[in-house]
Amino acid sequence: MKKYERIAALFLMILSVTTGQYSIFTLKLGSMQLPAAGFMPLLASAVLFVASFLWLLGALGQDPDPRPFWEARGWLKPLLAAAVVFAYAFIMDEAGYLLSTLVFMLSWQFIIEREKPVKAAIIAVVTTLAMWLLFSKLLNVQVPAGILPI
Amino acid sequence: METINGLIQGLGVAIAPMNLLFAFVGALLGTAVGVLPGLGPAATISLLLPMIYKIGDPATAVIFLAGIYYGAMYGGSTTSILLNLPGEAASVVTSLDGYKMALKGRAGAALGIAAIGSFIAGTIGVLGLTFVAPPLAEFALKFGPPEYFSLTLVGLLLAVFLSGSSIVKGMITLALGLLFAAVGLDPVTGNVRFTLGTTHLQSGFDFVTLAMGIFGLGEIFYNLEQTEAGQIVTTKVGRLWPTLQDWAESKWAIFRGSVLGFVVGVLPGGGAVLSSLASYGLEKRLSKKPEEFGEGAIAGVAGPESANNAASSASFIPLMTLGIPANASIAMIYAALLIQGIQPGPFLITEHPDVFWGVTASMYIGNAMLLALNLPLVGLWVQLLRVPFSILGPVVVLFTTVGVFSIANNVTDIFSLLFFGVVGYLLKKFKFEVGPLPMAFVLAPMIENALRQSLLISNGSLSIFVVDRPISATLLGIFAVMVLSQVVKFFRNRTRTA
Repeated sequence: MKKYERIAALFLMILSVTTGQYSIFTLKLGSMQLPAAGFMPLLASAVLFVASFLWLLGALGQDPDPRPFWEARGWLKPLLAAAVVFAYAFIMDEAGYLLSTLVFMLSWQFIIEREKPVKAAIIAVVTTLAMWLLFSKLLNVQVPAGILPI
Repeated sequence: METINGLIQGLGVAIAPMNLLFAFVGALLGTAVGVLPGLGPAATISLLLPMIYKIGDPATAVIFLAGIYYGAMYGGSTTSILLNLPGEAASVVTSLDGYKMALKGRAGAALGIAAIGSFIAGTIGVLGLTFVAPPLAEFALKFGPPEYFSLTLVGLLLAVFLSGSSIVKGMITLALGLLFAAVGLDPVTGNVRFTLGTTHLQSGFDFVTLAMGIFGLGEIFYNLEQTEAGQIVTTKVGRLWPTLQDWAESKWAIFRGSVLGFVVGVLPGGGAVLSSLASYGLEKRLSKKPEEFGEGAIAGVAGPESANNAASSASFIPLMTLGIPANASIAMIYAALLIQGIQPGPFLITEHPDVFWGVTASMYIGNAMLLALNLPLVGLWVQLLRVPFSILGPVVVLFTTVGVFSIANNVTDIFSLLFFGVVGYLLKKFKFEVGPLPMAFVLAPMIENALRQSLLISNGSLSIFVVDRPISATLLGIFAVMVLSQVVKFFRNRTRTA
């Protein structure tokens, strides 16, 4: 756990330095009387830097918690889910809501939940239709039509 | 007298058929959310925020969201008692004694006292809101930019201190919230900030996208890691109405829980979780038989359940009077008011009395609805847990994606949602309390404007926050004491460990 905490704290420190530098040199700080666009982001960056540094200090030394950060490849499902959502957003405009949602649900059931094909297909079709009826017909959300003439 | 008139006006708003319907649906949905572990009220309110664009009346919108919020507090107790599975963080302590009571065949008494205590406390909380909010709002009319700056500063710091996570982690989420809010156009100069050269980010991140990503999508990603499947245990519910002895053992716990919950609920960051923990500790300390706590003491159910409901009503006070959200769920309601074109704050009561009094009055009705909903429908709520995560998870993802898309009919917003989903997942993974992030995000424009206006008025002198400004000076004094106490604590701990 502590190893990952150190990495995350270092990342946040680098992020705060970057945003702080951008606030000072690009956005400019202005004067005390007339603070410019970089004034508040610099304060936020300073708070982030100090807090991340203290987090890093706390994460130094031996790890009292022997459990791994991700147990039994625990990162895989969230990563796959993020990839499926990314692909869903990527194809939604072109393929349309109905088709992209069907692909999304099928991918979720197959790739993430490892469901059997028939069960996955039933869940995907029923959920897709239910969601389409709810959003498109009941709530009148203007979802992309895409390639299907609906 | 003004308060009574306001309340009568509010009752007129609350009993309008559409508002009654939305209060009922909100309470029902909130109870369902409270029952389901892993999907809190903040997540649900965030999932439903896009709907707020479609609800024409602001009072109806807030009545609906408020119903979800206090409904979740009721629902959380059911699975805590019957299944030792707290649906809500605020109901974790309820499971300690509630589940033990269920194992002894007294689930009905535990559920009954939880519902009755919640009803009494919720009503006391709303009474407090009715009578405390108007004078507080009048007092807040004296606030200028320096007072607002100091108040927001103290509010955010309190939120970090009381959030339950480590203060360092709380400060990180707070700073991240402020930085996310800085993306887009500078409100004063109109300069673009942190847009990475894209036009899409010029309007900044949308609060709904941020909230849905962190609370909705992030929660789903995190739950995907949990491999343990929830087991439905068949527990005999038994008689729901408490016996005279149960009532004797619970009545003071309910009263103390209500008062404690109300006081803690008003504080930014206080909220339901802290109040239920504090109430449990208090009841154990005051009990003549503290050894029974953890073994099925009914006061261990009555106190915390009352406290979390009183706190949920009380947390509307800083929102409606000062424009400061007390916790993440209330930050969503703050955003809903903004979506409806209403600025929460001291002018809310005078400029939109229908919203303030309508919401307050609907809470009385909503509490009664919840009492009627909870006890007879216990069986139904438990059945909800049978919905497998393989269906619930992707459905929530679909709600978040379509919800975010519907705001501007723009697919690019789904990528922002995904970004916040990953941020939310990582924050949960590193055991951060994410509450301060949305609070900082919604309060960032207020704090920035107040600071810059104050400095402009004073020609750049920081004395404007202290000299001739007793309210601001007092608030900054509180801020200084809070910071100093933490510094002293830090060094004391270091000396002790050295």
